[in-house]
Amino acid sequence: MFKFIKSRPLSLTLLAAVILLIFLHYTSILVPIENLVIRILAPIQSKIYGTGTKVNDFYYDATSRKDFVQANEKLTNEVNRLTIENAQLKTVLQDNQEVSKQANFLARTGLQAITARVVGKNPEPNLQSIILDKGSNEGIKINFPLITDDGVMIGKISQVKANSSEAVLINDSRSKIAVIIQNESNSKGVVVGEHGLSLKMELISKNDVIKEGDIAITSGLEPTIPRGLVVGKINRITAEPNASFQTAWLQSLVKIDNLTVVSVLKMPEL
Amino acid sequence: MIEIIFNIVGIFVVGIVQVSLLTTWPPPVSSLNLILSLVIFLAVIVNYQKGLWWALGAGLFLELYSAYSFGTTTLSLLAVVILINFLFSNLFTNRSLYSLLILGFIGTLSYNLFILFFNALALISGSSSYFLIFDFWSQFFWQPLFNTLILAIIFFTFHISTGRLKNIFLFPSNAYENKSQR
Repeated sequence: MFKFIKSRPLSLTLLAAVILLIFLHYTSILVPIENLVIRILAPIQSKIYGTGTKVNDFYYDATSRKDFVQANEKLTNEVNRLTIENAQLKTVLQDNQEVSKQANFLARTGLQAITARVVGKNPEPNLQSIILDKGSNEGIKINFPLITDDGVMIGKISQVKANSSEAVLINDSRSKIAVIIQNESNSKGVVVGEHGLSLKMELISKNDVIKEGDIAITSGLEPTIPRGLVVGKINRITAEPNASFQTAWLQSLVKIDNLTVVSVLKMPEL
Repeated sequence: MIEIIFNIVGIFVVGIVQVSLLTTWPPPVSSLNLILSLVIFLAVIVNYQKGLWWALGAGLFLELYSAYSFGTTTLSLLAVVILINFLFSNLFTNRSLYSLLILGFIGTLSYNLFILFFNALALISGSSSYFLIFDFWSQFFWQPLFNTLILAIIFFTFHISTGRLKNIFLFPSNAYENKSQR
């Protein structure tokens, strides 16, 4: 191809040609040719550039996807961690709210109480009792009432150990609490648990006028339970024609199954 | 004549690939200088004259899209071809893969130095207001590395396509062309 030019003069010739072309470029003589070449090649270059960009985008997407998977995994772990943390904080908040309500009630009534955390439940399905993390070392004794919220009674201490205690909830069949209904005649009765399902108030005089929505509170007849603790609200009444008493079914004002913190009222020594 | 047209088309194709395709790749792969690699390959493995002509043609093509002063790229390519020919004639004895890779590496480094030199010259002479760009890793690490790699690929492709793979690691200096012709 280039045999007509000797190699050494060729390099000098080409260098001279370049210098000439530089001159022609800067004198704008070469510019129209340059523009023409660029114009002719532009469509081809555009297509190739577009293809190159697509290939690069594909590569970027492929590598980014890997990054996204890693980021997603990291974020999922973070979400899980925060969910657990959030749940723990909600529990703490809930506990604080419970404690706060109970503290308000105690401050208002002048009663003393021991705040205890629920650490477990009796595994027997027919028994409704909870295990508390406080016991006789903190002054808890048998039959001390348990309250939650704003003075709602939920049970009584049934067993006490040095550092723990068990409380029978008011919906347990073993529970019996002397109550009065907040009506005109202050109807008396006894609330017993109905197999963990509901509360039944018995021994209500047939002459007393009670209605749904009336509130039952502790009567104060039991030496270890003060008067005025809310036990529940009447939601159904039955009265047999020949019976001497009428019966009412109560609904507790709190969800007894979801307790986390309770107050054990510290009653004076008998 | 046909060979000349073939070479001109080749220069355009490689130039377009360099300008429009390789530049779209992510760094540091985009620092690959295919034209420089081909020019070095031609100058070392095929023949010196062809390397010079390709340096001129490809250099002029790149000038159309270059941000440097006109002539910088072409002069640098020509200078590289002259330099590696000098090194090849005086320090190397054969057209082996090793010679090509070493010369490719040296050629790429020197190409960037020539670019810097001609740029500085243009700047001093006032023909360019363009400031010097100096990216050490891209110019003196990645580009030599990728150019050397692509030279190895070109070398193998060339020898596979020409059926001369058996002696790829040690070609006698007169395997294709007698050195005296150079």
